[in-house]
Amino acid sequence: MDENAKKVNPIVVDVSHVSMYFDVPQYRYDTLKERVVNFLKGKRNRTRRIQVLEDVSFQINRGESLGVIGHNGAGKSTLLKIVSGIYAPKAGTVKTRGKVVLLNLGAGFDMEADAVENIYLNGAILGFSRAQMKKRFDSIVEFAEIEDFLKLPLKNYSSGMISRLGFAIAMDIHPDVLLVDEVLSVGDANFQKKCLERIRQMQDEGTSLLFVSHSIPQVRSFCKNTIWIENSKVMAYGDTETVCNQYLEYCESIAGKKKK
Amino acid sequence: MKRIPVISAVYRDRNAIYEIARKDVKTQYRGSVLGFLWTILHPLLNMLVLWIIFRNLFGKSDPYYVLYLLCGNILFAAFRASTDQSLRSIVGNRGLLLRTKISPYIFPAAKTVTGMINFAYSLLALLPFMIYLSVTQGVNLFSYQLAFVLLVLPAFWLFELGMGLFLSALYVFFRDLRHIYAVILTLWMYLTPIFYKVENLNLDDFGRTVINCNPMYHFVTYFRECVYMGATAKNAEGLLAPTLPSWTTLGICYLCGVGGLILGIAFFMALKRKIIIRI
Repeated sequence: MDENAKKVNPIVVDVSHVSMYFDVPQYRYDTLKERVVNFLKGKRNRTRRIQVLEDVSFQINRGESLGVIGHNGAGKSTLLKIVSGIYAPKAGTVKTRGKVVLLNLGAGFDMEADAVENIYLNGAILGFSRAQMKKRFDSIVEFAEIEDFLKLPLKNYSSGMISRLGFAIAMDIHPDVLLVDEVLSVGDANFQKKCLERIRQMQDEGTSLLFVSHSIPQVRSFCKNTIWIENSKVMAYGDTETVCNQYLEYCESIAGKKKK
Repeated sequence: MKRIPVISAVYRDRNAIYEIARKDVKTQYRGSVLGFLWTILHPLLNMLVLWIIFRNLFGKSDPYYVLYLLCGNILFAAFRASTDQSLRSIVGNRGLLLRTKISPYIFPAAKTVTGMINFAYSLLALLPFMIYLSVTQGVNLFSYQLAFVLLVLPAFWLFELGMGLFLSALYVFFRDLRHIYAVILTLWMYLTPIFYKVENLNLDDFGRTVINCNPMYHFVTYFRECVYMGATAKNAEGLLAPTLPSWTTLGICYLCGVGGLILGIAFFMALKRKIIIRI
């Protein structure tokens, strides 16, 4: 089925009219005691609806990349969590094909365990057995450059090292869709370069990329299309050059207003 | 089989459950000098304390009372540890749940697997007491009945898993459940014949119903029928005559296990979507 099906239908990510909100209660009751006390007092707990995404639609073809830009709190990370299946959207549908891997800081790691255990744990969460991960072990450790720290608990790692390990595992698993949430920014310059080269190589091999970044040059160099999200709404979606220019203009106009 | 949703999910997540349980067993006694040996030493020392105390309280007339006591205690301790740790497992893995696509049920499931492994080790701790009794009483306590213990283990695990699913999901919403459950466990322990024998109590119908409705009573009873009764049952002439554990008790154990699991799964499924939002 595989090769032909992919040629016939090269869409690997299909997000259609997705909306997401969280109902946040005015007071957060975490215990049974609080609930009972407040019920007896007759206090009503109203919830406030926080809209995170509103009617977001896009598609990614096999081997293509989509950049996601926007200010902090715009809803980018939530979007990635919805595409990866962590959250179920309140409206709309998400369809993905093949193995989807979400790469964010500290994803799938136990900070108390050491690197060896975490490689197996992370692999198992992605559906790989211990034997399968053993074969990949050396190349993961080599790519992450952590040979000397294998027996160290992850809580003693720097954030750059953790991101390197996460990246190395995700790369070795050859996902069909890679969701990258701002992880490259914590690595040093050399590692960033290595990662970017690797991502490009994976794109050639047919991996699709959903790329959240605040680095406009990186988005420009990777992504054919870009989606710009601001305050939970899609501001622009299309050709990267056009969308990035619109975004930068918007940023300048905001900065201008603030100065005045 | 793989078409049934629950089974196919477990099959899909088997690697994750295995790795998390393995990691738990390994990290349990990390940083202690004796390391892994504690898995056996802990129940052994615990039993020694119980034996010293209760031998003088209740055990004067029955030399095998220590075995009676330990059977109940070992099983209830396993249940306590397994469910108490399951309870915290989802909240404790908040970071993992929010950053990766992983079904929350995996954590209580892995905890009960770890619990069963620890339980197996605590069974080893029974050995020195059985050897001691065999020598001092001049009988062989290692009869073939012991093997029948294995039959009840799956039911026991299913029951723990059902409780674990229920507690871990509820704990996300009520963080004081930990303290409440600790009290419930104490009450539960005294309702289960661990130190005392049911036949020595003057129970009315209500009391009998309460005892019979307690799944742990049936697990403890079956476990004792294998280990304690197998060794100490006497025939009409007053000679030791090992008896087989009762199939009815085993049947009730499986009823409790499967029933508990079904209730646990149903409760968990109802809250599943809210867990990830609320955690």
